[in-house]
Amino acid sequence: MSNRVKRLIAVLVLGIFFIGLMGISLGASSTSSAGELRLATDWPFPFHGNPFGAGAVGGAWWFVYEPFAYYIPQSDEYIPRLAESWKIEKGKVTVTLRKNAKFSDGKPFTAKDVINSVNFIQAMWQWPYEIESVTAPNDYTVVFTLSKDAPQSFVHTILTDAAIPALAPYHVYSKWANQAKEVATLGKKIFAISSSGKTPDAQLKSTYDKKADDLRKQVNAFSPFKTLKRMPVVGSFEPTKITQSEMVLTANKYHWLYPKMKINRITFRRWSSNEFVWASLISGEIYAAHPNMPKDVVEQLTILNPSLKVKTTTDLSEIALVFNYQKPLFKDVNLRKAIAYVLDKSKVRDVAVWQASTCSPYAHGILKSMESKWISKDTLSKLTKYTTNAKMAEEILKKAGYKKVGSTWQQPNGQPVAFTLSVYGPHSDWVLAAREVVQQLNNFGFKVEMKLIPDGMRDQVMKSGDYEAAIEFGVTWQGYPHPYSGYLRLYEADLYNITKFPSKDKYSTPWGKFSPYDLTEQLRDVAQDKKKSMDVVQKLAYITNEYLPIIPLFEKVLPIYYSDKKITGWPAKDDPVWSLAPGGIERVYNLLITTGKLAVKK
Amino acid sequence: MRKKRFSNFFYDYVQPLISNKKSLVGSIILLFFILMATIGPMIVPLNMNSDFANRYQRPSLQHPFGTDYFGVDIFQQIVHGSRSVISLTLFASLFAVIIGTVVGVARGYLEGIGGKLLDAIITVFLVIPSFPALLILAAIFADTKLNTVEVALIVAIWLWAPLAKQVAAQVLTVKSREFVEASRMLNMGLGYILFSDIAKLLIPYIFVNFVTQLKSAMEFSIGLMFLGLAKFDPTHWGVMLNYALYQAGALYTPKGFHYPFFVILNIVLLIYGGILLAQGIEEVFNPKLRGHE
Repeated sequence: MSNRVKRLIAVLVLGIFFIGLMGISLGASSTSSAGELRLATDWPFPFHGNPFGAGAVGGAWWFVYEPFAYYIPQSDEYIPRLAESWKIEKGKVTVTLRKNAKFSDGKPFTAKDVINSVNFIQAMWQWPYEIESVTAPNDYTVVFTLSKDAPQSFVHTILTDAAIPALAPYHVYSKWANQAKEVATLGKKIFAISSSGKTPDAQLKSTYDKKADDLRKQVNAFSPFKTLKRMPVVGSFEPTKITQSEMVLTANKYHWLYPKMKINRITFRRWSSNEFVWASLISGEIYAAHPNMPKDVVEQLTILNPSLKVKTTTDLSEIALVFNYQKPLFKDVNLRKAIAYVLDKSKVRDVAVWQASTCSPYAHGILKSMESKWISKDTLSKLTKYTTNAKMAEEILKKAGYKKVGSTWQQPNGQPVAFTLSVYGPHSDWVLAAREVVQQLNNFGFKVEMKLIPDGMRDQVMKSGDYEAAIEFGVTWQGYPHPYSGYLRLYEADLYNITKFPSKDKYSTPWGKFSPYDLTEQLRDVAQDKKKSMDVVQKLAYITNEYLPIIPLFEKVLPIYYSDKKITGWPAKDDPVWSLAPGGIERVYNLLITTGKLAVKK
Repeated sequence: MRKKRFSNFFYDYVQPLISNKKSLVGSIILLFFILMATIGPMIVPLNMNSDFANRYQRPSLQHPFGTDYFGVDIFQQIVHGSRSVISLTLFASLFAVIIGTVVGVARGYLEGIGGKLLDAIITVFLVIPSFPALLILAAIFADTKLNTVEVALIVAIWLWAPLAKQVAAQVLTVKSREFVEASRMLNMGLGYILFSDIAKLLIPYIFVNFVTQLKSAMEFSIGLMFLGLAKFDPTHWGVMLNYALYQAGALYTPKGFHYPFFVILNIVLLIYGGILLAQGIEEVFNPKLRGHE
C-alpha cells in the first residue's frame, strides 16, 4: 500500500471519527423541540417501567400515573382526574370513573384496573390494608369498603394517591392477577388478626410468606419496557426514550385531556447534584426545578438568566430540634423551655434555608402557614410565646435548680448540661441548622457537640434511639394536609417512635387533663368535621406548646424556579395551584399542561 | 561528648538541608503551619457566631481572608482548624508510613511462606474498597468517642498498603547488593540487615511518600467526620471546603470566590511545603541525585 493511500485512509478514519463525535454530542444535547418542557429529576437505569421494581419510575411518577383527584390545600378543593365523581358514606367510598380515560396503548381504563391495582399494592407493599375490599358494580364504578379501623383521613388517600387507580393495568399485569389477589387476601387476614391483638396462625403466616415472596420475585423482575417495548400508562405522558443522562416522556394521545395539551414532550435531565441543577437553570438547559439554593447563588442566577422567576410555597413540613426521652436529661420540661428561649430561630433559618418561612414563636404543632386556619385567637392568647430571650431561659433554669458554674450550666444533680446533637450528614440544610443550633447553645453555656449520621444510617440510628438530641422533620402534613397528620406523627407514629415522648401521660390544660395520644385518636375520628376537629386541635396545640415534645426551627418551603423565556402560562404567584407542589411538584406541571395553561412561547 | 554528637548531627543532617533551597523553603512553610497550629489559636481568638448580614465580606484588615457564608471570619477558622488538620493528617501519614515500611521491608526480604503471607495481607488491604469499609467502621464505632490518635490509626489502615507494596519492590532490588551479602556472611541479625542496611536506603523514598500521603490522609479524615466517626470540627479545612463548594455554592457567585480560595491556598501550601522538603531531602541524601549537582 502506498503512503498516499495510507494517508487517505487515515484522513477518512479521522473524518468519520469527528463526524461521529459531533453526532454524539448533538444527540446528547437533544435540541429543544416544539412543545417541550425541560425539567430535572432522577430515575432508575436501565429503566424497567415497573412501579414495583427498584427505583420505580423515578420522577416520572406524576406524569405516568393519575389519581382519582388532585387536592389543592390552599383552596381546599378537589379537582377530579380519573374519577368523575365520588360519594363518601360511613366505611364506604363509591367512585364513578371517567369514561373517556384510556391507557397510552389505547386500551380503556375500567374498574378492573382499579381492583387489580389495589390487589397488587396490597400484595407487593403490604399497604393499604385500610381497604377491606374493592368491588365493581359495573365497568365504571368502584366501591371501596374500608376496615373499621381506617381513619377518616384515609378517604383523602384513596382519592389523591396515584398508586390506587391504575398502578397495575389489568392488561399488562393479568399474568399475576390471581396470585396478587390471593396474597392480598392473606395479608389482610393476617393484619386483621394482628390488629385484634391475637397472634396469627403459624401455618397461615408461612403460607403467606411463601406466596408473597414468590409473587414479589416474579413481579419485581418484570420489565414492561423490555417485554412490551413500552410502558402503557393512564397518565398524560409515557416514557419513550431513556438513557443514563436523559429521560424523555411523550404525550399520551389517548389521554382525555390530550386535545387541550400544548406541551407534548417532557425531557428530564438527571438531577445528579444540586450544583448541576443550579448550572442548568442558569444556562437555560432546564426550564423549571426546585433545588435549595444559597441566597447569593439566587442573586447571581437572576443576573445571568433574568427569565427565571422564583415562587416559594410551603412544603407542608417543618424542621425541628427533637429529643430522645429515654435520656433523663430531656425529661425536664424546664430545660426544653430554656432551650426554646435560647434559640434564635431566624438565625438558624438564615444559614440553613434562607428562603424558609420564619417559624412561629409558638411550638403548638401546627405549621405556621396554617396557624390562622386552625388556632383560635383565644387559644393563642393562652400559649407561651418562645421569642429569643436568654434572660428568661436563665430564670427558668435557676428556678428549676440549675446553676451556672463558670461558663457552663449544671443540672440540679451537679452534672453539666452536656449532650450531642445528631444530624443526618447528607441533608446539607439540616447540617447547617445543627451547626447554628450548637453554636447558640454553647454560647449560652450548655456543652453541645455535633455528630453527623452517615449516609444511609438515619433510620437505624434514630429508630434504635442511639442519639440524644437531633435535627429532624417536625410535624409534616404532606400526605394529608390536616393537623391530624402532624399530631399523629408527633404522638403515635414516626416521630413518637424515635423520641418516645410520653404521649399517653395526661397533661394539664385550661380545659382539663388530657393525654395527647387520646386526643390524636379523637382527632382521627373527626378529621373530616372541621368544627369538631378545631375543638380537639386547640387542646393538642396547648399541650404541644406548653410541654414542648419538639422545638420547631423553621417551616420548610419549596422554592420553585421557572423560566418564562420559552414557556408561557405559569400561574400568578398567589395562585392556589402552587400549593399542590409539596410531595410531588410534577403534579403542578401536569395539571398546568393538561389544562392547556402551559404552552411554548412563540 | 553529647555536644560533639549534636555538632555531628548538625553538620551531617541539618546544614545540608539548610543549604538546599528546596528543603529550606519547604521547612519554612511547614514550620509556619506548625506554629500556626500550636500557638496560633492562643493569639487569634475564634468567634463562630454567625452573622448572615455580613456574609462574604471581602478580605480587609478586620478580616484578612474575608468572611464565609455564615459571616464568620475565614482567617480565624483557618488558624483554629490547622490544629486538627495538621495533627490528624501528620499522625495518619506517620502511622501509614511506619506500618507500610515495616511490612514492606519484611515482605521484600522474607522468602517462602512468610513472604507470601505478607504479600497476601498487603493485597487484601490494597483491594478492600475503603468507602464501604469506612461505613462498617462507622457502624462499629458509632458510640465510641475516638481521640485524634485513634482516628489517625483508622485512617492509616487504608493508606499503608500501597507504600508497603512499593517498599517491598525496592527491597527486592536492594537485598542482593554486596553490602547486604556481607552482613549476611558476618552473621549480622535479621533486624540489623532489614533496618540498618536496607531501610536506611529507603528513607528519602519513604519521606516523599509520607508527604504525598498527607493529602489522602486529609481526605480520609474529612470522610470520617462526615461518617460521624471523628469528632465534627467545623473549622477543619476539609469541612470548610465542603461547606464552601457544596452548601454555600461559593463557586456560583463572584462574591464568594475568596471563601474556597483561601482554604485551598492553605491546603496547597501545606502539601507544597512538604513536597519541597521531601525533594530537598532526596537531593541532599540520595547519592545519585547529588552526583548531578
